[in-house]
Amino acid sequence: MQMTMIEALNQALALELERDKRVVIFGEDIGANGGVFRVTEGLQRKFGVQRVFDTPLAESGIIGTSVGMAVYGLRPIAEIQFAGFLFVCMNQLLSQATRIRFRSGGAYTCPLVVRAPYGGGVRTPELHSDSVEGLFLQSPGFKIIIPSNPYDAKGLLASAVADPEPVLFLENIKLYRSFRQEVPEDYYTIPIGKAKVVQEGRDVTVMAYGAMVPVALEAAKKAQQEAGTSVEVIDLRTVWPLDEETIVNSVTKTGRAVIVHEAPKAGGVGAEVTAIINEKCLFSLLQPVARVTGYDTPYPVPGQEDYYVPNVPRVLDAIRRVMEP
Amino acid sequence: MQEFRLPDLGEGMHEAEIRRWLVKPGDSVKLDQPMLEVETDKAVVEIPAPVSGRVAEIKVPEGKVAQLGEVLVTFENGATASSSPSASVSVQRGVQSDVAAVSASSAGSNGSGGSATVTRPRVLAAPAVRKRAFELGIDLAQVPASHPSGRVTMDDLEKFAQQAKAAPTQSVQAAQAVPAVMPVQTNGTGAAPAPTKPPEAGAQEERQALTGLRRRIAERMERSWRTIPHAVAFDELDGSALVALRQQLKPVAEQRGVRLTYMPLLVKLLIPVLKEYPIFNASFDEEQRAIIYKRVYHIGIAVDAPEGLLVPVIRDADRLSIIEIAQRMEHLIAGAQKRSLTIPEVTGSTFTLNNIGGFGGSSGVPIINYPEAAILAVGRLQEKAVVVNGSIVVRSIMPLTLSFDHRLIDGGAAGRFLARFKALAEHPQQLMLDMI
Amino acid sequence: MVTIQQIEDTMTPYQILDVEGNVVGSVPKLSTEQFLQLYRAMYLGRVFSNKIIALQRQGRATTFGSLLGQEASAVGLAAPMQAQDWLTTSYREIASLIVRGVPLTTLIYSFRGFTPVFPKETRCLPVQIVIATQMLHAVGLGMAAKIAGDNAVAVGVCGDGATSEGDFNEALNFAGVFQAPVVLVVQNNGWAISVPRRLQSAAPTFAARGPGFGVPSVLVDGNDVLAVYDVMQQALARARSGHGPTLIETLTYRLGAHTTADDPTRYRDAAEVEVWKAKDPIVRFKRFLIQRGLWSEEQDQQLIAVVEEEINEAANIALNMPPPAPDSFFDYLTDSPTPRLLEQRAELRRFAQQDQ
Repeated sequence: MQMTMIEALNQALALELERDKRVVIFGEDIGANGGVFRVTEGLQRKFGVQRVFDTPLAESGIIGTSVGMAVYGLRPIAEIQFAGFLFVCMNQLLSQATRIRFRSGGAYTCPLVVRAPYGGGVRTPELHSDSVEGLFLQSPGFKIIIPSNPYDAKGLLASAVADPEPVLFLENIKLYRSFRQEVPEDYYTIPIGKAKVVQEGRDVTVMAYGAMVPVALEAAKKAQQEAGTSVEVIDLRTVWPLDEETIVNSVTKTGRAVIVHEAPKAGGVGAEVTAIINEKCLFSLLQPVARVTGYDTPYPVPGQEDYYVPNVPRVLDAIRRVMEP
Repeated sequence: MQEFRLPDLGEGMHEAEIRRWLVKPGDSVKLDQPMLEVETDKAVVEIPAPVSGRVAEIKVPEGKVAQLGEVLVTFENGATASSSPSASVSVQRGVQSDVAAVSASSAGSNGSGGSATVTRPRVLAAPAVRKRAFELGIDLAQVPASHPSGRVTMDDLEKFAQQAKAAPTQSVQAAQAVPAVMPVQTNGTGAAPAPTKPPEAGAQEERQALTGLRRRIAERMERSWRTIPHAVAFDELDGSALVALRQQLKPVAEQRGVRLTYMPLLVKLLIPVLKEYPIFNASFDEEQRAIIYKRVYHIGIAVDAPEGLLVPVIRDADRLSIIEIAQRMEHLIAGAQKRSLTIPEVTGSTFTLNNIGGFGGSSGVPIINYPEAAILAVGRLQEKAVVVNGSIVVRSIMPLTLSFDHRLIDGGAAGRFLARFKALAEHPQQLMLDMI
Repeated sequence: MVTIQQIEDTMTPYQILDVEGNVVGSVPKLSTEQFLQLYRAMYLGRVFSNKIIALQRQGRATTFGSLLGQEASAVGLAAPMQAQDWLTTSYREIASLIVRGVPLTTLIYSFRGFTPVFPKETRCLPVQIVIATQMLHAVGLGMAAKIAGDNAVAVGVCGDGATSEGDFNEALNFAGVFQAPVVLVVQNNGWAISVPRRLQSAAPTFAARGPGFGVPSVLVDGNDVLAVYDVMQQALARARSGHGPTLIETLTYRLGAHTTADDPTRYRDAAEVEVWKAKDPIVRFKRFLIQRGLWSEEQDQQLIAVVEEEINEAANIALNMPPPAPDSFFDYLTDSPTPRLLEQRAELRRFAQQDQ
C-alpha cells in the first residue's frame, strides 16, 4: 500500500502494540492529539490510555521513568517532541539509559526506544530542526537510526523495538509527508546497522542519511548528466553502529568519497566515517574525503536555514572536487 | 608469454648480477613466491614471482649481469597477474616507508645534483597513486607531474609507466607488489661463489671469473683509483685517554647490553672534525666540476665480511650518542657478515672510517670510498716507546692514515685535519664543551 | 483581598521511641525475631560502613560514603518491603541493600573498584551516583507495575541535596499525575557535602513539598527505627492498594564525613555533631529492647563478635576474589558486539598482556 513515512510509522507502532503487551507509548501530546505530527494518531483510542498516554511537560521525567519501565520488563517507546529537546534529558539518556546494563554488570537491561523528529528546511522555531546524533557518539550506548523513506522507517522501527538495548530513532520532518512509497501492511524488520547501496556506481561514493539521501541522488543524477560520472549512493540508515564493511567496500572500489549530513561538521558522523576510511582503506583514496554538512554554528533562523542545510549544488560541487584527477 | 624484466631496485642502479635462481623452467610458481636473488652494489635483493603460473624460460643465468629492464624470465601463457588482496594489503603498510626510502636513497646518493640541502621535498601524491607506484616499482620523484601543485596524478603515473616500458634504461615491469628492498634469506654461509670450472689435471693455472661481491669491489676500487688522485697523510695518536675512557665506559655499556669497542668512540670524535673541515665530508661532481658539501654525516665503517669488503653506513652519526652508534655498529657488522643488509644500510656514506688494526700489520694506506673526498684508516693500538719531554716512555700508539682527494684537499688541510682529530682523541673530554 | 497562607513552620515528626528509647507512640506489632532482626541489621550496617572506611584507609577500597548515624532510616525503610518490590537508592543506603539481600561480599567487591552484579531477585538497582536520577527510575518502575497489573511497589531513596535537582521534582510530579505505586523517601541528614539543609530549600520541611505535587507526605524521626518502619509499612500498603504515592522525609544526621575524601571539620561545628550523637538510633533501640526484656548486654557483646566475624569473613572472601579480566567491561555494554568493538577489545587485550 502507498504510504507516507507518517503512515508507515503509525502502522509500525500499532503493530507493536498488538504483538506485544509489554509495549507502551508515551510522551507529550501523543494521546488524544495523536502527536504533533500525528505519528501516534488513533493509537490511544484503539489500545487504551494505560498503554498510550500523555505525560507532563518534562523530558527528563519522560526518559527517567521510561528507564524504570524498561528495567521492570516493559518495552517503552518514548517520544520527545523535537530532537532539539533531547538536550533537556541528556542526563537520563547518557548517564542512565545507556549505562544501566553497564553499571549492573549485565543484570539489568534497558530495551527503550526514544523517537524524536528532527531536520531542517521546514521553517520551524529554534531547536526544532537541530540534528543531534553526533553528540551520542561520544557516550556510546544508543543505537541511532535515521531512515530516509517510509519502507525503511517501518522495518527499522520494528527492529528498534525488538532490540534489547536502547535505540534513538530520529525521524526527518521534511520526509514525514514528502512522498508516498509502496509499504507492506504486515510486520517486517530491517536489520539495524546495515547501510543500503541505493545506487551502484564506479567513480565516487556518496554517503548520506535522512533527508540528505534524496539530495545525494539528485546530485548524482546531475553529475552523471554533466560529466558522465558514475556515482554510488549509500543510504547509511543506521548512523550508530556504522556499517563499516559497506562503506569500506565501496570506497575501496571507487577511491573517492563524499559524506552528506545536516548536522554540524565538527565531530559528526561524517568525521567518524572519514576516520574509518582513513583506517581501513586510505591507500585506495585518490582525493581527500569531502564532507558536505551543516556549518559549525547553531542551526540558524528560518529565514537563513536554506543556506545552512546541504543542497544539490553543494553536493554536486563536492562530487566535482573529488572527481579531480 | 609473459615477460618479467629487471626492475629498478633503487639507489640509481643500472644493472644487477643474477646471484641465484630459486626456480627453474617448468616450475609452477605462486604469486610472491621467492623467485631469484640479484646482487646490486653490495646488497643482495630477493625478487618474488610477479605472477602465478609456469616458468617458461630463464633468460639470464646465474653469474651474469642483467641491465635494468632486461627480460630475466618468461612465463607460459595463462599466468595470472591477479593481485592477491592479502599481498597488497600486507605491503600497504610498507608502501609509504619503502617508497620514501626508494626516493630518498635515489635522491641522496646521486653524484650529480647541485643542491646541498638535507631535507628532500616529499613528492605529493594521493595514497592510491603511491600504492600503484610501489607496485610498478616506480620512484614517484621521477614522474613528471601535470598538476600545477606538483602533485603526481594517476594519469601521470600510468603515462610514465607506459614510456618506461618502451625505454628499457628506465624500465620497470608491471609486476605485482615487487618490493624495493627485501632482506635476504641466505641459506648458505654467504661464501663467495665457487669457481665455475674445476681445475684440469696438470694445468699450470686456473681461471676464476670475477663474480658477486668480489666483482663489485674490483669495479669500485678501479673507479676510485683511476678517477681520484690519491694523496696520503700519516700521523700517530697517543691512545692513553681512549684506552682509559673505554675501560671506564665498557662495563656500563655492557650493563645496557652493548659491547663497546674503540670504533664508536672514534666515530664520535670524527664528527666535530668533519664539521670543522667540511671539505672532508664532501664529494666531487666530475661532470659539473663542482664540490658537493654534504650536510649530513653518514659514516661508512669498513667491514671485512667473508665474501669481501663491505662498507655499512651509520646514518646521521652526528645525531647519535656513543651508545647508539655502538648499537648500530653491532647490528651493521652482524648484517654484513650475514649479507642481510638492505640498500640504505650500505649506501650513502659521506666519509669512511677503516679500522685495519685487527688484520695483522700495524697500518696501511686505504683507498677512498668513491665518490667521497677522503678516508681515514686507524691502525693497531700498540704499546710503543716514545719520547715525552726528553724521556722515553711507553704509550699506546694508534697509527692514522688519511687518504684524500688531492683535487679538493691539499697537504695543509690534511695535516690540520689529522692534528685536530689527534688532539680530540687524546683529550676526548673536550667533546663535552659542545655537548647539548 | 486574598490571604496568602504560610504553611506551618513546624511539623511534628512522627515518633514512637523518644531519644532515651522510651515508648511515646504505638509500637508496631512485630515478633521478637523481627525486632531483633531490625537491631542486628542496624548494627551490621554500622560496622560494615566502618569496615569499608578502614579498608579505604588501607588502600584496599575506593571512595565510600559512611552511613554512620543513619542506620535506623536505612533499615527501617527496607525492612517492611516485600520480595516483589523494587528499590532504587543513592550511594549511602548500603544497609538497605543488605536488608534486601545483596551479599556483603558483593558490596565489598564493588568497593574494590569493580562492577558488582546484584542478584536479580533482590530487585535493587545498582547504587546511583548521579544525584536524584533514581527517583524517576522508581516512579517508572511503579508505573510499570501498575500497567502490568502487578502487586509490586517501587521505593526510591535520596538525600536532602537531591530534592533540589530537577529529576526529584519531575519524579514527584509524575508520581502524582499517574498515581504511581511508589514510596519516595528523602533521608534528610542535614548536609549535602558541606551545604547545610537550610541552603538547600526554603520550604519548612521537605515533607511539605509533597502536597504541592498532590502527593501525601509524612515527616518522621529518622533515628527511630520503629517509626520509620511503621510509616514505611503504611505507605507501602497505600501504594499496593492503589492509593498512589507517598513522600516520606526522615529526619536524621550524617555523623561521619560525606565520603572518605571529605573533611567535615572544615564546615561544621563539633558541637552540632555531639547533639546528634546523643540521639544515636542504635543506642536508643537497644535501650528499648532491653527495657522490653528482649535483649541483654551479654547478648550485645556476643552480637558484636558475631557481626565483626561475619564482616571480616566476607571481606576476606571479597578481597581475595580474582579481579575481573581487564576487558570485561565490553561485556557489560552488550552481548552482541560490533566488529569495531571486537577490534577494540582485542587491542586492549594485547596491551593488557604486555603488562603481564
